[in-house]
Amino acid sequence: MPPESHYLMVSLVLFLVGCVGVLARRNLLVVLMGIELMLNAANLAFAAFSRSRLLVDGEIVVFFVIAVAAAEAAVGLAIVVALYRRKETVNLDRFNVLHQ
Amino acid sequence: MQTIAFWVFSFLAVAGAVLTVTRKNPLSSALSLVVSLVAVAGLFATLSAHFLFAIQLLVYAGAVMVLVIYVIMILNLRERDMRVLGLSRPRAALASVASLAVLLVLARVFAGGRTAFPADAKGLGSIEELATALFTRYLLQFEVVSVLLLAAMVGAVVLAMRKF
Repeated sequence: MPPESHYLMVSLVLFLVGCVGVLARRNLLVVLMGIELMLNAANLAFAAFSRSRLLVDGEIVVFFVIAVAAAEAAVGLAIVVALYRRKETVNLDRFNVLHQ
Repeated sequence: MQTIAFWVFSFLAVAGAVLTVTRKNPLSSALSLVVSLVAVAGLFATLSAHFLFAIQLLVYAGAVMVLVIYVIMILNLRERDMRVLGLSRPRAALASVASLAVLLVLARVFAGGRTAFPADAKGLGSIEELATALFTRYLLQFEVVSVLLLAAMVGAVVLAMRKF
């Protein structure tokens, strides 16, 4: 079985790729997917820690994170639909009413 | 066996993630994300977290991604929208350089401690153990999450229904 650090590296790479997606993409849908990627990376790290300490608590946290991510996806996508109705676009740079 | 599974699943997870971020069409992004999520489910299985493996497939790769793909198809973006919504070069370069720096620093930190996992998982990740913890020590959090899901459901319906 590969050591714990391998799992942490995969988790880190996934997190950073998700982070690049959130920072560099202007498509609101892809930004949401980047957030999902980052949450998943954190889940992987939690599961690895849980396995190495033989404690079930890490897996409980993953369980809760998945539930919260589902809620976040539902509300986030509803916001995307509402914004698209108003502006006819999903380009994040067009949603700038608050700093005009 | 487990090592091979680990490398295959981590390759798929990272490749799917990179494709998610770089594809112009949000639909191909979403499908790559499904690949990445399924691969992470496989990694959970190698960590003997069998219940999480099932939940990841059902909730994440199933329900959440169906929701995402559904919204992408409802919005029905045109070609010209997608052309401006690709990866913006300067931002992508900046973000990649910054995250590579973070990666190198943290890789050195992690490489220091190559702790092996305990060989015997001792029933970790079984549904019994998870349920016992969930319905005793974490009962309050469990109830809070169920209220959160209800609130999210009502919020999503209200947000998507209202005419702004």
